[in-house]
Amino acid sequence: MGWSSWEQSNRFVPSPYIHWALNLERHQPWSHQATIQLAPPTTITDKTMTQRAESFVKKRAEILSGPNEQENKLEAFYTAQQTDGRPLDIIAVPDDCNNNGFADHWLDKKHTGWLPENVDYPTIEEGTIIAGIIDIDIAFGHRRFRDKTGRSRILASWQQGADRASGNAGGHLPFGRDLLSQDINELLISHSANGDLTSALDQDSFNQEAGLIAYTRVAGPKGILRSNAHGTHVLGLMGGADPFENPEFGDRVKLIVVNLPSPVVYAEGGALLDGYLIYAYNWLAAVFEKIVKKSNLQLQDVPFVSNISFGKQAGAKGDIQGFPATLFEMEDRFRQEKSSTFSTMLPSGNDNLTRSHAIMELKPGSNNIGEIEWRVVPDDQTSNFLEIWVHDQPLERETPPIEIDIVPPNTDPKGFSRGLPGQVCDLLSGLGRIYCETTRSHRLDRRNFLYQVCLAPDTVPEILGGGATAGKWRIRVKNTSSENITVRLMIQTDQSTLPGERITRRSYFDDQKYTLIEWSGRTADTYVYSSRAERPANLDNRGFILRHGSMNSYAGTNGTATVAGFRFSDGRPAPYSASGLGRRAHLDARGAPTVALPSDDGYAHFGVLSDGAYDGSVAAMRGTSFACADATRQVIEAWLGDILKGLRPTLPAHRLFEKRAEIEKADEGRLYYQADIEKVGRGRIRSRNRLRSLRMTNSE
Amino acid sequence: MTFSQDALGGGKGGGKGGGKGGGKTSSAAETDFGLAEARMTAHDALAGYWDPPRGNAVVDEDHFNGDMSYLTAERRITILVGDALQRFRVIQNSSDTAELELSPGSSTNISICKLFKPDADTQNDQVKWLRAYADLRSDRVNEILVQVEDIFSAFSAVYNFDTPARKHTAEIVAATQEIAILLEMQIKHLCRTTRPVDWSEKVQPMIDTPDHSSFPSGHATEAFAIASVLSRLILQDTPDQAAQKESQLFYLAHRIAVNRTIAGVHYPVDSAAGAALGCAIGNAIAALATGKDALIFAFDANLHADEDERSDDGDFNRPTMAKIVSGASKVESQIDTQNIFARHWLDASKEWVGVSTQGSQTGGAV
Repeated sequence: MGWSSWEQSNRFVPSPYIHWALNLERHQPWSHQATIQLAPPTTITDKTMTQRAESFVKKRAEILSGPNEQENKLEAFYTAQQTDGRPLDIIAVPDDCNNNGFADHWLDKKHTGWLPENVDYPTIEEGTIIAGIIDIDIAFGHRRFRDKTGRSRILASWQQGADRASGNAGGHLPFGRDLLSQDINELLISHSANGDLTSALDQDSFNQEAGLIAYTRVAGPKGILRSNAHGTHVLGLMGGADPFENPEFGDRVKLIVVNLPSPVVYAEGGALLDGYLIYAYNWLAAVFEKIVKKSNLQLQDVPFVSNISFGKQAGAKGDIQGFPATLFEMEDRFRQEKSSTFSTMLPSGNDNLTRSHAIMELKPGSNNIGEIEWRVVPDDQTSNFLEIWVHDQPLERETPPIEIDIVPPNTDPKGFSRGLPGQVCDLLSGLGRIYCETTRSHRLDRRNFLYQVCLAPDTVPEILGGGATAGKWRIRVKNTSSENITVRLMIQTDQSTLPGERITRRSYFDDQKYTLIEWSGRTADTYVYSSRAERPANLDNRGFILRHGSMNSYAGTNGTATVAGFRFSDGRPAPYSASGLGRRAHLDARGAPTVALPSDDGYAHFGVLSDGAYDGSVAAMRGTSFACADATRQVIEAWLGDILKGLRPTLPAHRLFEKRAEIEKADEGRLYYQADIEKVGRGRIRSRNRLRSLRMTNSE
Repeated sequence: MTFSQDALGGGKGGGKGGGKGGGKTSSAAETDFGLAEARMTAHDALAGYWDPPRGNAVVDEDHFNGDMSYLTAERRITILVGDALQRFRVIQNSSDTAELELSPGSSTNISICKLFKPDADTQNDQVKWLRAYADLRSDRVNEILVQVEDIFSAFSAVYNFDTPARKHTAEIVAATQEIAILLEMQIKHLCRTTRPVDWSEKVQPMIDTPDHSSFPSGHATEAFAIASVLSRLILQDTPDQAAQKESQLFYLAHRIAVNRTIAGVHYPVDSAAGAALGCAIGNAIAALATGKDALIFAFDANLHADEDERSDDGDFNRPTMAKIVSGASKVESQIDTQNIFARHWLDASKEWVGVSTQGSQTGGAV
């Protein structure tokens, strides 16, 4: 299994993830039919979208008028070559939820802005807080997301994975279908017993018609058919309220919901996730603005927080690209609009122990070679991705300052090589590829270099050459510059795409210096927490593999609030809760979470409780996603407190938590462990999850 | 027919019969040679000179009033099954239909359920639901494994009849299940249909595929029969009335049925047919006990799969279930009761005095 030499790749599709996904799709088709759709710019404006749409429509016509007559089929776009230096940003979308005319619609529309004008947007009253959520499997028909009359508190919802044929799908959406509150209420009425909104809802029928579930579409959403659902659990924590026990909350706090498509659509490594998230976040903001305007209010009068309990491991990490750029630009825009409370909440991630992050500090000189093992697990039916970054290089440097040697299992090193940005290098078996890229740095006078290694699933059809990629790979890196270089290596997130699937296995770095188990027998966290009196010992100080820096790559900028997890009963930081790097890559970057909130209730109480997939049910789920949702709830409640006192909320989330953490620090004596900033940010915040007091008698 | 020594429920059917009971019975003692020897030698020693009828006791049989409390639970169930079963008849009209008839007593038999089996095209199309529902296997594995043999426990969680104070109800439920099994097996044979596993090697059911026909579903038949009987006994509701009240009994029956599709051993049309058949059987049993409200159901698997009024596309979901269980017509003829069954039913109904007959009320504050 050797590598080819580096060759220029004049591919139309610039993203290595998407290009690799298209490559696999040709040989091992996803079980849904995929077509192409325009990928969004980080901020959707008339100018940025129109440019993209024009380029997209033109290139599409060129490709489809050629000898390859597969309309919209991925093969045509995979093999097409760019000739004029302008790439085509696309994402792949399942056939039945794609709007093939979206780019044309954008060029034809007569109004300014994304969303149509001639729509009866819902209105809100002064003193309302709006909370947005982007997640999967959000069952928004639950009683706790409705007011006491039974009407929905959801102002608008976009089901990105809904098929377009079975409902009213507007031309303004690239895929899926949206619903406004009046549409949702009509559906609630038609699926409630006797049309009475206070009686029982036939959830399955409602969810089907709303586009929340699709039984027979493999790519269709169906997570809420299970007993617990991620997005429902999150929404329950952040925005759920019994309409009779807590009517004030329900009356004042309204919701805007985006249901992402099922993971099989955005692929196991999140290859296509950024495109869907960027569209989702832009839509949230656009709908928010429409509603505020229709209500004759100003943006600064309506506090807005969004919760996005999603993340990826690999990425630019603190650099402002892709979805993080969307977050950064949107925060900036709303600050300029004087909306001081505009806030976004993200989890720090659960990858602390996955051995998916490493840093090599390499001195110059041919003897200073960094080497790390990359173990690819057998019987893995999903691709494995490794990103090798060198950040903040001078702009005038045109080639990466490192050479790499990716040694396949059971082979000898063949020697180092260097790619040029835009080149690719293939495994001769066809089972892998390395892309060499350069990306913009946060500093205008700097750039980043990236080698992205893509390995085919361990089980592939013969048409791709057969063979297997499992085993111990060796990643060797040499600094060829004259100064010290920091190389950051990250293995991308790898999750299952179908509910209950067990075929996903995650590769990991291996190093005998890495402390896997601490002396007490526990799986080793970043620190050893032994007692209240002692400062925790750092275990993350040997070898290249680091827990420090494993934070969610979406949560890398300091404009968003990033939430870590800890155990409520005794304050022990959650071992899986990702650790910050401990230092900022640049002024706008984040070196640690903002705060920590409970992600487990107790040693014998797994996770935290919130709404299950079925109305009235309760589920326990664990992870920083739910600590993040709890934090969002705290933000909302703080603002609600101000409003009820006749004050206008002015502080965004991360500022609120700075204040709250100071207050709670005084009470940290009740916690058994000291904890460092990289794990818990400014501090551990208690929360008043309504169900915890039922589960644990010693909770508040 | 035989009963498991340990089970109060029925024999081997779609659901194998559940419930509890057991302990040693007299039949075990009869086969115990050591005990027989002991009794023989004791008899020789104790009985002495014996010249009947001199020395006989005086026995009065006038107090025999039909009460079955002197029998074991298993015997009572056997009698109930035999008593009711004689009023049912299964016939085959054509190669793809089977019909269940009820004898009202004094007039000619009435057809209370007619089933049309799915043709090859329908079965082929239905396999897509096996794919769709397979995604729920890991979520439902515990339920599915328990329900392979025991659906009795599921119903006793909704209405607590598995207790000595409600033994008549428990025996009626067990008898209902056994009657359903005996009838459904004939119908399955007459409507023999290939199991999903034979349509695609990717079905790979998570439990063993039974030997008998896929259509109609035995689990669905028994579950809906039990739901119908309990609904009539406790709430005095017919299936259409229960459907309007969002009855937990029928929701449970539906879930038990759907679990079989998730497991990979049934098409949705099998469960839909089982719902129709089970409701017919359950209501007929109630009619034999009370003299009223036998209902007539019908189900055509091929029409169901083609139905385009909703976007069901051949699925068996709750709205479909509600339509099926509500779509019955009433038997107009007078139904003569079966005395033994009627008496047991009356005793069972007394076990629910004081239980609310409002039916389930859901919705409202969580």
